[in-house]
Amino acid sequence: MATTDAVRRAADPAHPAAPPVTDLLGIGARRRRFALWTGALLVLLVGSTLLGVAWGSVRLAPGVVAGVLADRAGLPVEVTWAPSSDAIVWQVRLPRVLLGIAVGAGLAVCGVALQAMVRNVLADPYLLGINSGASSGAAAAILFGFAAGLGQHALSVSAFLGAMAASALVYGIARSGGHVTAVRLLLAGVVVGYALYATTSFLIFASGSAEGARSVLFWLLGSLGLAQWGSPLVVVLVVVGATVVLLLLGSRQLDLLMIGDATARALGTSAAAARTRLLVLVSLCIGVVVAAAGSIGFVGLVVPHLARRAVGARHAYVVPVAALMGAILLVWADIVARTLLAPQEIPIGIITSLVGAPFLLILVRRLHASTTG
Amino acid sequence: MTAPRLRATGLRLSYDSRVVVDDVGLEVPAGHVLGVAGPNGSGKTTLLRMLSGERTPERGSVHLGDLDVTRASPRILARLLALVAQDEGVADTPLSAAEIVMLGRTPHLGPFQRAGAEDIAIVEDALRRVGALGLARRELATLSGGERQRVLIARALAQGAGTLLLDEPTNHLDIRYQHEVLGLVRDLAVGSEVAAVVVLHDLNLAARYCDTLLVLDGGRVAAYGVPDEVLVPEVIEPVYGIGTHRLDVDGVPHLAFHPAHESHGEPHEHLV
Repeated sequence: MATTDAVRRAADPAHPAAPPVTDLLGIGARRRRFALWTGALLVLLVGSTLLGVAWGSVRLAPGVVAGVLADRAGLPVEVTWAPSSDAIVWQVRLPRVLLGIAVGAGLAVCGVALQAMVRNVLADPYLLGINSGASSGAAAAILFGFAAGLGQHALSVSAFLGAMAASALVYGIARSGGHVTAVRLLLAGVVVGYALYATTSFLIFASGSAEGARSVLFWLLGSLGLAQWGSPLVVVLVVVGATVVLLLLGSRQLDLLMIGDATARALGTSAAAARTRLLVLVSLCIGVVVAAAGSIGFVGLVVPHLARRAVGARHAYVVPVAALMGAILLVWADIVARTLLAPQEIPIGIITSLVGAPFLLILVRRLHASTTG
Repeated sequence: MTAPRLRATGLRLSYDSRVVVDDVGLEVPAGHVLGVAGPNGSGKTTLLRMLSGERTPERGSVHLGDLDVTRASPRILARLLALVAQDEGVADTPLSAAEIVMLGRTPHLGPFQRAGAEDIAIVEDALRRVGALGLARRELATLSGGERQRVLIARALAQGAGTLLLDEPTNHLDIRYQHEVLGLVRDLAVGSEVAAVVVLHDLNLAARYCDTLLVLDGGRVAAYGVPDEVLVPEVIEPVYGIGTHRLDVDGVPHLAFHPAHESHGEPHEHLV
């Protein structure tokens, strides 16, 4: 520690030793703003979780939800509700809401990471073909019994393998011929995405099974309906949690990647190596998320923008705020998906796309305005 | 005569078997500004990339004092050498000027260490030295080109590096800001014993603000010396393929160009 200080002083003899008296740089102001947003979003997330558990085809009183949760947590509460309420809260809805929180947070932070690493605000997990890979894997499992030996995990595992294969392919193409640049990565993502989309369509066509086609369609549109207690849910929660923490710890690298490769290098960070690490992390997270919930679009694209508008571009702030926003967004999208046409359930991807598409339109218009005006 | 802060010898680098820089050497003592000029594609940016350690030369060496740049870890290097690159994507990110400058502290902070009061003081000081403290809270996108360059130079200062590399810092700036930015670099070199290397297109700016000029042509050194010796028609005309007249104003060389001049072969396309 003493040596570090010595190096600092030697490197910059002119710096003043006294700490700043006032917040000349606005750093304190941004920190307060971040704290405010985080607090508000946490409250909102807890409220959304309770409502997400309470609302559905059968509506429960919030008191019952709180009671069941307290009872399950081992607190001494008087049981005043029917056993069916306990089953709905604990067996059906809570795992589903928890999956929604994890999926939303995972998609959002992966969007943040991808937008920084390809330095393009229109990037998201879907643009890079990762989602298409997962869909192809799922289609192969549903239609042709790929990995059927794995039983109930066949779908998840093959979707996950598809996601990893797609990102490896994207990365391989982007890497061929030297440095992995942002543009090359994006183009490779689009190419691989289209190819895999065609593959999925071909699989559906070739199977000739109407029932199988319906299942694949359901998968392609995304749903939290498969959520239940068990190892798959734990895997999603752990992987998304670890992704958020790792991105938070590496937030300064994200800042540097966003600015440019030469600058990142000049500030002591190898952009190519950082990009490789990030791509592996994002692939893992998206693979696990898509395997659990199918293909849910626009969250990874929309949420990073909302987060940056709220707390500025520093990733130390953007990552946690985006995680919270993504989680809340998905819990609400699922509430709408379950209740709008109850008892029928709308695929959640339709809801997020309906919300996301106009947002994308506004974003594109604004980008256009800022480049031409 | 003290040893130069930055020294390069016999540098050579090729892309896809095309030699882009060949046998280039230079020395920059502390407190001096070296200007690198030359036509498009003459290897200026490639040279800078070797000086910054981004590219490893095939031949030759780059030293910062005793440190071999090609072998140094990026983190150590970043404490000694700062770069204001051309590819800075800061314009469209909503980072504030203060946050951009704070990134200059990265090489001094542990991977997971937060910036402390000392770092904040250094950032304030860097912004003050470039006259941009009042811009600290503004987002980069809202600043003018000249203000933005000042902020990027402040980030280089916050790095605490004794050597500063700038790749065409006057690009897209109007005349007043071109002079302002280069005047700032000059003041920092003289006032803070910084060694600076500036890639410049404008030879007249180079004449005014640089102690030494290196003119590249096809990756090789066409001329290397003080502006008074380098900026003469005999050197400039064959390099740029354009008729050149020199006028000295207040002891500073000024060049005037004549594209129609035909006695020195075809003018380069980009200068027509």
